Amino acid sequence: MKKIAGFDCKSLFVLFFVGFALLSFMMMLPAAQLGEEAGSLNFNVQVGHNQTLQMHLGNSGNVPVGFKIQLPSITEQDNQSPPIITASPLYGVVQPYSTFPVNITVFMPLNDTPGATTWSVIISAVQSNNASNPGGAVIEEGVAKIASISAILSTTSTSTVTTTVLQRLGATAPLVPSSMLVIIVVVIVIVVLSAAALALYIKSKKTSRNRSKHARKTSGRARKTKSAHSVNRR
Amino acid sequence: MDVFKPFHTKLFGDFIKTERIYRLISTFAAAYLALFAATIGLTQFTFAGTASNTVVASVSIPSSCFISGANSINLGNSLQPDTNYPASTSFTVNDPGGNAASNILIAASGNWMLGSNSIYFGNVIWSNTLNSATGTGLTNTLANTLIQIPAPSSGTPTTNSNVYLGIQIPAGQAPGVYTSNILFQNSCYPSNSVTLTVPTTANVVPFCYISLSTNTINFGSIAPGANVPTANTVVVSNPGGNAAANVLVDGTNWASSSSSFGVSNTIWDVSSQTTYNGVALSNSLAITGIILAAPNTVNTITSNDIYFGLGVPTATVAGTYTQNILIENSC
Repeated sequence: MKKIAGFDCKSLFVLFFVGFALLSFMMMLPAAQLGEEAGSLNFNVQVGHNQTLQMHLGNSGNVPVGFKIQLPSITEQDNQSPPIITASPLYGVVQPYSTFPVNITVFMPLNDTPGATTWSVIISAVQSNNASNPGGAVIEEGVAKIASISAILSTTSTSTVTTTVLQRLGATAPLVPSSMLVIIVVVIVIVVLSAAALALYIKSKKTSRNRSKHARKTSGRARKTKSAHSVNRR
Repeated sequence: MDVFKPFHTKLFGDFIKTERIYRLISTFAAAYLALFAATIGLTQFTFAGTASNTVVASVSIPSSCFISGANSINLGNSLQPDTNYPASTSFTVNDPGGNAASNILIAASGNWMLGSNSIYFGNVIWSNTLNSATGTGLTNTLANTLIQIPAPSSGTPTTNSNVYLGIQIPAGQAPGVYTSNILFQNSCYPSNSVTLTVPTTANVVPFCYISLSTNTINFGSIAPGANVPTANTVVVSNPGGNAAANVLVDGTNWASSSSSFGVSNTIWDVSSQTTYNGVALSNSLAITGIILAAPNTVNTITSNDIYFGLGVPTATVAGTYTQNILIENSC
């Protein structure tokens, strides 16, 4: 029988057939494959409000994969209250060949100062694993998203915005509430307008008085000239 | 002739003088009468023809089929690499105004392209069944799907049938929007419709996966105060992804049924150590600095190693202790 590299053709055929069958079998083996969509989660949350962004998990395997979300515990930083992070759902199953969105919501406490600090946190999706290894370590796998969280100015609360602007300008306590500021501004405007109106009134009165004085003088002079003429004629 | 003379003379004066003139007039009169009679006769013949004869008109209407459909197809907005998407994208092929049943033919104009990156046209599958995972790969010449569109009729002037499309995104496929055309044609004997060319997109998103070489580490039996060098390897992989990943790690305390010792007694390092040396594990995730490069269609798996060691504190109560170590990829 003809030999190729020391093997006869029949043996080679059997070898290839077995290899192909094995490969096909391996490809058919049930396997879950957890992953996540790349990209950062940057939360810019208005104080007193919350913001929700999505973390997309994926499974490229041919069997479902379970997961649980692990949220970080955040502590106070730069004298700022930590934001509150929640996730929905906290547990789930990513079906084969599909993506699963997890909503991550961050609430920014009202007493935080916008721009004062940025938290960097890690949100994890850990693959469900019931393995146990008494006398050793169990290695779990998962995917994680590094998120940044910052407080920003609230656009709905005027008092917060005013206070923050004044604080940034270096104003010291006690700070004037925005409603009071508005009243003060209105009063100032009214006073200025009234003063301007009064000045105009006084000026116009003065002008009219001068005009009438001038007119009286002119008419007196004319009368004098007329009488002088009549005297000359005579 | 003399009898007529006074009359003629009275009527025409001297104008009519010869007999030839009378003959001419007689000839004209006869001709006129004959013409009149002929006209009457013809008119009667025509009326008679309308009433009793048939004109046979014939026209040949061949079997025809036409084609119309949506002007674009989107195979997916967030397709993961290394994933087979079943035929879940529906495309309706219409036959507007044809008169014969037809079969839908389908082809791809070429590979799906994004710059120099491509997805082979055969990776786009078609099926006559919604969500079928086992469709038929497209070819670059028209292939008969055998999906039939019923013949339109005067009551139903437009008929249609659906073709379902799926796509297989290869491992390591670079992210971005890939474009090509799918060609459709309705085939009916003796003539086919014109080809409908539909621009088709597939958006592959950046993705990273995680796979570990082992799910357990057995440090063996360690006496209190002794340790194991940082040499227990775990291979962390990014199989089939298309984005680079950072490796993160944390753990729990070692616990037995009656006692425990701290997580930080386990240490990790990016290289194998011959001694108990490395970074202490903590119970909050740490960025190791180990980076798994983005796989591509040639190197579909990228991986890196992380090594663990363990030291057992002195005076630790004897027992069987367990710890959970979490390794994560982040991209």
